[in-house]
Amino acid sequence: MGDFVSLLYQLATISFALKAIFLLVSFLYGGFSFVMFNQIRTMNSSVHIGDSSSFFLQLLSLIQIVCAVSLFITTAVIL
Amino acid sequence: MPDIFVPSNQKNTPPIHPIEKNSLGLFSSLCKNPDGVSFTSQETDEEVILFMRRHFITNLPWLTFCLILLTIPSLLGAIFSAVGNPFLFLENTHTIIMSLLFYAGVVAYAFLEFIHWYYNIGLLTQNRVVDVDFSDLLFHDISITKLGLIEDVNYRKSGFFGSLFNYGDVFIQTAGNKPNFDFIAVPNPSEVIHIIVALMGKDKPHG
Repeated sequence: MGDFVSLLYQLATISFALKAIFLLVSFLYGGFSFVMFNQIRTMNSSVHIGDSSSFFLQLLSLIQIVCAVSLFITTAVIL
Repeated sequence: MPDIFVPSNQKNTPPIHPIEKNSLGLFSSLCKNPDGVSFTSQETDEEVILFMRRHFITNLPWLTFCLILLTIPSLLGAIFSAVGNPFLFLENTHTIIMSLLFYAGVVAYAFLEFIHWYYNIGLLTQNRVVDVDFSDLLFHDISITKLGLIEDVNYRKSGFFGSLFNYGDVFIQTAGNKPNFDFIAVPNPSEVIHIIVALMGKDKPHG
């Protein structure tokens, strides 16, 4: 009985640790996406390289932010 | 009988055409008279004559690395199904989140590498040379020098891929303690040098 409780305790600890790691990584990914979006905006304001391609990159970075926030929310809710 | 004197307004001069602009694509590495390219300190009468950045083939190493990374989860799945999964204690949700985070990381890495290539550019106007360096996510640097301050221009083409795809490094040395400019892996470096030297000749003061 004692071994079974110990095993359950270990599994719960692993699960908690994994949840914390996943939340931290998704949070960092979100931060990274925000920094990248801001950096692309800054670069587009200092150097203008075509209309469509700059807009396309800005849009891609915005999509990345949306993905990062969705991933963080999913990680927080599901786990 | 040939005319000895022709008034200047009757000379047979070719008609002056406006400079033909070339459209710049997302993956363009070298473009003469690019359309829609400008920078912050550009003067009103200043035109960008040459746009250059690394040859697209130089992105091959990180593209290959990303492709290898993308195959890792499916490869691991195949190995674990054959040998047996050592991570049975992980729940399905854990595995899904882990995979999503992994793919997000690979996409972010690829995007960062692409941005690094995209914003590392060199511009040549009729008066100045502009070097835009995007070193990493938190640092970028824009250096500008006048064509009159350039002392020496040379290029180096080396390696198998450099010879095959005709790209090389262009080095511009400036006078005094001004920073030197180097444009790495630029397509057709001899033509770039030719254009810079031609502009330097025009920019030199007469008399």
